[in-house]
Amino acid sequence: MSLYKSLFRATYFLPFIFFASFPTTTNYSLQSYSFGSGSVVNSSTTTYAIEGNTGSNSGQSTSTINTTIKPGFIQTQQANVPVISTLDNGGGLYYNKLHFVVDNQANPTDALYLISVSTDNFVSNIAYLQTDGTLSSTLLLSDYQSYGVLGGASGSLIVGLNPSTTYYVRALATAGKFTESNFGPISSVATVAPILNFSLDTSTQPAAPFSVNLGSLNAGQIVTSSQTINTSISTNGASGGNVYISSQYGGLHSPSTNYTINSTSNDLATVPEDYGAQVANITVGSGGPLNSVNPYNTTGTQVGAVSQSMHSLYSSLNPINNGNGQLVLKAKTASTDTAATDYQDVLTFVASGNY
Amino acid sequence: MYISKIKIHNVKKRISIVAVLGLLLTISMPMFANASSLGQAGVRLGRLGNGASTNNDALVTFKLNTTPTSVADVVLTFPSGFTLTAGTITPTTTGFPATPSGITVTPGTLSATVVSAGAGLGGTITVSGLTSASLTSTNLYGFDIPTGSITNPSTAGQYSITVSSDTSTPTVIDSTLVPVYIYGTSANQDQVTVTASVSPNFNFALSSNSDTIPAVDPTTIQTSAGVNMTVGTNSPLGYTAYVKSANGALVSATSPSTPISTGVFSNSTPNTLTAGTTNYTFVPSTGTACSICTGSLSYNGGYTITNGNQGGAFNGTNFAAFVSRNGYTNADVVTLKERVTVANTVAYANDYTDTLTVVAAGNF
Repeated sequence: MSLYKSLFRATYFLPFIFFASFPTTTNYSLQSYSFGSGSVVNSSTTTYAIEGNTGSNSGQSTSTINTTIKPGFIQTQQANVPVISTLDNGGGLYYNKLHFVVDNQANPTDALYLISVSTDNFVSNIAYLQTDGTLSSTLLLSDYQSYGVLGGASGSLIVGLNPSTTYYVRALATAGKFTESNFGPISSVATVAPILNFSLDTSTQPAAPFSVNLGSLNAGQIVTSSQTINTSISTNGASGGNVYISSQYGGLHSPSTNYTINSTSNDLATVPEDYGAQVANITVGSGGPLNSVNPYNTTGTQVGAVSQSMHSLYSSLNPINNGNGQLVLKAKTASTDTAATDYQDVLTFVASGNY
Repeated sequence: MYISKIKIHNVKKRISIVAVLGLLLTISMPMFANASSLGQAGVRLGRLGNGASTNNDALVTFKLNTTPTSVADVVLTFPSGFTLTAGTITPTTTGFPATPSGITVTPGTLSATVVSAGAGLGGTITVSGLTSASLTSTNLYGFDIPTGSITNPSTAGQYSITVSSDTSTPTVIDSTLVPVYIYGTSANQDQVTVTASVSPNFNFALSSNSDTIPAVDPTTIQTSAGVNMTVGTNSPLGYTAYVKSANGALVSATSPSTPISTGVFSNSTPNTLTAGTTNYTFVPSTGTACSICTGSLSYNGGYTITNGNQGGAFNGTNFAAFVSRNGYTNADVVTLKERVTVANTVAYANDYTDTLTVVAAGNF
């Protein structure tokens, strides 16, 4: 080896030998440093911007399961990585939406957050939360939403989801150009199946066939059924549910005499004859409320008419569990109502949910 | 967003240049593959009973979501368990219930094609004819599938009907699973039978308990002012009224030897009275007509009086039916009069009297 070459190598490797041991104190140690080249500027077009810098650490990351350390200037200016602190299906109610809360990790108030949702844990199915709560696979600038728009500490809803499906959700934050963080950790929860449950019985008959006997009707007397007709509805329908009533004859009908005491919505005290229904009581396990619907939401001697058409009897605008309604029947006969022992009607009760 | 990282090495120095592209506006990503849900959807079956088909219509309510003006059809997909009867039907758009509130008539001339997948295998009902251009995502539309197409599953439980909005292609735009609940172990499990009986009633009244016949002589036929009998009953078979004379004659305590006797009783023909010939008869006639009644009022032939010279003889001292109705009535008013003639041998007296007993009975 020539002297020239030996000198060159010595000169070349000297700094690295010298810098092989970096400054260290008890609390801090300088891992590396480099020389900036200077003269690097940012550049942008209408739609894109690039930030350049030199002299930064190479950016080698160190990670554990829970944390990632990314050294360098570009990392230090990034927003704090937000966390989906809550992701739930409303306690087993939501079949087409999910509730989430963003933990903003003390980002500045002008920070914006992007919520990303996937059904395959971000393998290929990726969508973004829009301002109306729905998802779109097309990312728009408007999808970056403030902490307040996302409901703050109360959170917000992702809507338009499919039932019985697991959704994976993550968030990132940005506080201006070149500050967008990585996505935070992924949370997941499944929507439930839509539910409708309905039952019918009477206060004296827990099982079918159900019957209510109004007894012997004397002219001019107002008779109230001693039994109640009890319905129960449970549904997680986002817009609640309804219970309906219909009548086979639209009144009390005597086949043997072909006479019908027609059902009308009236005060029995003011009409010679009538037959109808009145809501006596409503209880709700949870959710609701369950309301009686006009004309059945009456008291005293008032009744609502039943007919061959389906009429709304009870209604809830919200999901409801064990919405129970008790119905009584009332009748009054005139002296000219044909005497017979076979007056009858068949009331049908059905329920539906609004999903 | 971390886009690229470039390392440059040379013999003099090592420089790391990290280039970061900030993505500021639009980034295209793969589309979400699934159709969205309808804004709202509901199916109200007319019957929830196990296996029920009678009166089993289906009120369908829906709020469109994506591109409502592209929707041409609404398709109901019934799961296994349901049996659909194939055919073409016409959905109706009247008589919507109060809830869910604000149901709007689905615009268009609707028709529906029912396709059955077999007994208990479900099928589809495709409702077409929607006026796409008029559809919005804010209205809650409704239509009713009439009875005759749907038979409930024979096993109780929850079943999910898919309601979807389709293009004319057809391609599903949005769809929502709508559960319905089939209840109990037989078709009538969703029903309550109401029974009652209406007690028989009967009422009867006389407007007065006395009636006076004007003074009669051998040249005249005299008729009393009359008493009103009122009968009301709810008997579907009506009632019959009877009359009985205590003496079969008008008798005088002061002239007991010359009673004014009734004529010959007949069930078919009334007596014809002649001045100067003794007779004592009964003359019923219809007063104020009933306002709520069925059937008709009819008089026994012997008491069917058509002129002022006729009268029905009493049945001796026995009851004789004189009027009846074959239906119920709120109030039949029958005026009861006595018509008398005397021979010149009938002794003068002003105390001729008789007691008539009038009764009526319902035919229950």
